[in-house]
Amino acid sequence: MPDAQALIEQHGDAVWRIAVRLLGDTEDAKDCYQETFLAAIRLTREDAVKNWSALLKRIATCRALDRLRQRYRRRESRAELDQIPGHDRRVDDPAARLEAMELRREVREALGGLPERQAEAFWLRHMEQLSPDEIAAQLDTTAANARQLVHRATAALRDRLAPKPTLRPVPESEGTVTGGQR
Amino acid sequence: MNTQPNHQPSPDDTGGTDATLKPVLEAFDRAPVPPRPDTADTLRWLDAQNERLTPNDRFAAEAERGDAGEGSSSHSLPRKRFTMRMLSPLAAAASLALVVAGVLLFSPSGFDSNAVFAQAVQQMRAAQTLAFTMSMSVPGHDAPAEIKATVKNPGSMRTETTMTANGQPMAIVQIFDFERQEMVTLMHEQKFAQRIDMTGLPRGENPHDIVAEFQRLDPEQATYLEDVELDGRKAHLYRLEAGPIKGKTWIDAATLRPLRVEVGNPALPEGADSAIVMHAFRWGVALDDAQFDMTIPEGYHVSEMDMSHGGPEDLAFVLRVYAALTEAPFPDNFGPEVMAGLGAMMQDPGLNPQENQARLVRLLGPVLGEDAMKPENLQGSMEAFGERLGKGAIYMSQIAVDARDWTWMGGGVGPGDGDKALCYWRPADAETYQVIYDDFSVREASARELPTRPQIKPGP
Repeated sequence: MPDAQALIEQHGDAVWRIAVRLLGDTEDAKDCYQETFLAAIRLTREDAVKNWSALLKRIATCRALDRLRQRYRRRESRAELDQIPGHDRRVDDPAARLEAMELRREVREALGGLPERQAEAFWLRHMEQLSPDEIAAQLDTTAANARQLVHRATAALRDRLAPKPTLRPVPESEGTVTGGQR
Repeated sequence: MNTQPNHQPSPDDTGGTDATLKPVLEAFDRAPVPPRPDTADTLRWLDAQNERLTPNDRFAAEAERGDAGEGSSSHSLPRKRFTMRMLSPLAAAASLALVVAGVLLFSPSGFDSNAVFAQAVQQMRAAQTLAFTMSMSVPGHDAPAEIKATVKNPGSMRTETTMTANGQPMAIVQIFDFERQEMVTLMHEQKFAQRIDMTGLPRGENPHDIVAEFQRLDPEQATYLEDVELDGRKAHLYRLEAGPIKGKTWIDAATLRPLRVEVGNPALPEGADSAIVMHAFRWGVALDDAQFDMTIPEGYHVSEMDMSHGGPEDLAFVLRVYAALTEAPFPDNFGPEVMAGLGAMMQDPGLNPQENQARLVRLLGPVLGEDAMKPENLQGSMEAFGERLGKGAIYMSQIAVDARDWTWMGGGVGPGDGDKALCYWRPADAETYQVIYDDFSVREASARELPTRPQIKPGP
């Protein structure tokens, strides 16, 4: 039985980051965050966990994608967190910030429409930078199949996003999605 | 508060990085991340939830890791012999049941351990190939459907199903590649093939390698009952139980390998007869690689199918098809075994092929639309029909495995105006219920809004 407090302290930031980035609003993200740790603790009653980091990232991704799917199935929209309350305003260009926000919204919608395993594999690979072997272990499949899932997800996202105007390079003078300050 | 370093797109072994992906990753890198919730608050919430943990939740938690896997379904619809093609769901459903049996029966669960069963597990872990026969009782068929299965480690399975349709034998071969998550259905006599991409199946639905599942068998999930004699051999009889799946297994006392496995169907009421029997096990049998070759022979009509994204609407479609084919009220129970019977309902043994086709056009026309049943559209219509049935069948099996509170209340109810519910369930991870009504509409409902029993008594 894991020490829940130690788990949260060690992996809380990573789980929270996934929830916030995928969901875009703090209320949903908080639910996802709590449910992730609950699911992980329940799982450990049945099985030993070899890689807590990968497991928690996988569960958080899975839970957040479930919520995205529900959200888009119900045609619900969420206002994305644009700034962090109480923190200084981010210094990057407002136009670039809005464009990045719009791109995130489109990607969330696209991920919500992808087959679950493809969406999970895509996020774990590209955003969480898990290796194909780590993804395979989490999805209970082979590394080859994990690569295939990522490949198909990427291709689907490319098809979905490529024609969109948000992907056009933005002139330097306006700030760019690809080159803005962090 | 973003503590993660800048993302560089991952290497191109997983789909490539390009001008599309780079801005996507950077856009998410730029997303503001506020401080995470307070740890003490989270711990309090976890404590409160854990006090409410139920056994059913435990099973759902297991499914969360994808340990509960299932097979796929397919529907082969060659060009000429319309009614025969419609029987392929039977084989598909049987294959699906096979994988359900293999996966669920042997997924981890907590039961008393014993050393003999552990030795049996060790025996199985040493084997690389397996052949066995699976029998499944199917409504509408006098004899159980019998499937011969061979499995080659790692990752390949072949099933052969033979049945009789319109007085003629029909053979269906299905080959699974678990690593690539692909399945091919071949009907050689009809020169028909169907290739199914299963990578997009929802979590927990992808078929698993059944040999691997055997090898992962947890000895603690079996409870020894007694020593018995089976087919002239001394056997140890065990009770198996994993979530909603209950069954028995007979372990050969001499070889410590399974002789027979019987599994009840979770969708059937307590005490119902076993729906699935696996027997004639042969471990370590020599198998030819050609048996698992998924190359489709030249000249075959090929149908491609993507089995992702089945959902409540697909299950409602299955119910609508069932009602159209039976022209009768729904039975008292409805589950995967009833779906398997859909194949048998596609034909009336008292009619010739032409009469059977006319019957199907009459029955399915209102469901699929008259245009769909025109001869020139029939091939495409039937492929789409089969795909939708497959998605509905898979979704039904998913409900049986990991949904909560599955309730069938359609006994004695026929198609109507939407004022009577046929069934409801709460999908895993969902807060609300899905309800299918007798007009085959799907509506969401909270626990308070759920229909109550009884609506109508089954007829005499």
